Amino acid sequence: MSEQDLIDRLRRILGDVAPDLDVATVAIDADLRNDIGLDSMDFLNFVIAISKQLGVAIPEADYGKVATLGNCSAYVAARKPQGS
Amino acid sequence: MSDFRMPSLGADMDKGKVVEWLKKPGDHIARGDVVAVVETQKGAFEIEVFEEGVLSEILVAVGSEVPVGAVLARIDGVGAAPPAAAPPLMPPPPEPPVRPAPPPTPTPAPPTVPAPAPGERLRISPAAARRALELGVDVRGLRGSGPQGAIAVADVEAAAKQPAAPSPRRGFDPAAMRQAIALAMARSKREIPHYYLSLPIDMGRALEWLADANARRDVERRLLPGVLLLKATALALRRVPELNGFWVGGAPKLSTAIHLGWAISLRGGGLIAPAIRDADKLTIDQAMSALRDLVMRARTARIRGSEMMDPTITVTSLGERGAESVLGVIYPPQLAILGFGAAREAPAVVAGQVAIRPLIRATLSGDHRATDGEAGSRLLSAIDGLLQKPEDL
Repeated sequence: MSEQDLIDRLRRILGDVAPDLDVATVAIDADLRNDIGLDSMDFLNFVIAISKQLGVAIPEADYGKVATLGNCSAYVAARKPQGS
Repeated sequence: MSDFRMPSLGADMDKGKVVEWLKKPGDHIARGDVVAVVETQKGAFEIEVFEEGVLSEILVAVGSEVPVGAVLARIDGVGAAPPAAAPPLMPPPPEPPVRPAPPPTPTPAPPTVPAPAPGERLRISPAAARRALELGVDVRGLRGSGPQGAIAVADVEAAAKQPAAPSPRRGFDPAAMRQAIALAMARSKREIPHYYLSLPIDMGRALEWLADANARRDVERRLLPGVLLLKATALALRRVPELNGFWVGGAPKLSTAIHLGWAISLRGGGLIAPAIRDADKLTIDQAMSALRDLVMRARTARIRGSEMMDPTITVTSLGERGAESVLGVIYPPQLAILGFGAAREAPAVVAGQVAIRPLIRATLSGDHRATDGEAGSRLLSAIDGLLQKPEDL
């Protein structure tokens, strides 16, 4: 999966957990909590969906490394199980 | 035969518009069934019935706006009809006190290539099927550009580029929401003599316990600090019941059930505070599931009318970021509102030594007609005490 594919995928996951957001307009360097307005529950739902759909469990201690779609994509790409 | 009326979903509602009927005349209805969707200034809500019977007649057509109390439909009851009390003194929905944990927030399951319906073959190339799995694209309903309409890799990739369009809450109008808040809050400040208390709470133990618990839990079972605040508040209200209930007819009317209204800020503007019912009886995991479910449904306008009517007190938690304290305005006719600011590291005295600790400022706004600061103070102290033993929550 290319980097762009992964970002598109994360964007759609974001759309699922925050259906009231226009995810197409979320910049890849926008902070999902501070700029986009995800609250802690939305962010947890985002992390849960990534774990379920992409097989990458993000520990709480790493939340700072997945604050934007761009960072999150790099984080997931580095840990994604083969073949999923 | 009984009347199914337009309910009042709060102090700020005097009329509502029926936007959908989910049952039709002749349908059997059971307690708790959602029969209609009603749009209010705060958005759309699902309206349930609290009796069993047969829907005999619909009196208000979709699109009609009627005042609170207007008869919407008639129900041929089976057994005794419930008393027709006006909310919020409406009898709580007849449900067992401990409700099973709601299903986890509906996160879409990992996409699979679905089996085609009998008699209908899904045409998709093996490469496209693999790509669909990889990209998480649901191929059902995709238009194929390959031979005989088969779905090709390019079709899947095009679909993956198509981000879901935002789906604003049904019936949500930010201007109407502002009006509703204006009405209720102005009434509160006009009628309710508020008193205010605050107490900084050392969250060190609670947050350590939480981080430790979460490190050992699957992602899906992680807890948020808010759920500890929720449980501590609910348990503290058992010890200080004077603040749990309503001001009705010039006197406090206390509630034995503890239904915490949890303020949820909506990104389109405004907020709603639907109930976590019987919050004192939920385990920490049940409370977390209930909270996740409630927030998700608030985002998609799937909150039930009864959840808006039930809260016996409101809690507003600012979350991890932002202001240090919030002095809430009581939502009439409730008797109090609790506020929790964002946790901040600050110097505190622990066992005679100055230490840097994460502090959350808890506040209470109370209705001085019903209680005095003494009761409020006991409530805040009880919450503080409970948060020092997070393992018992």
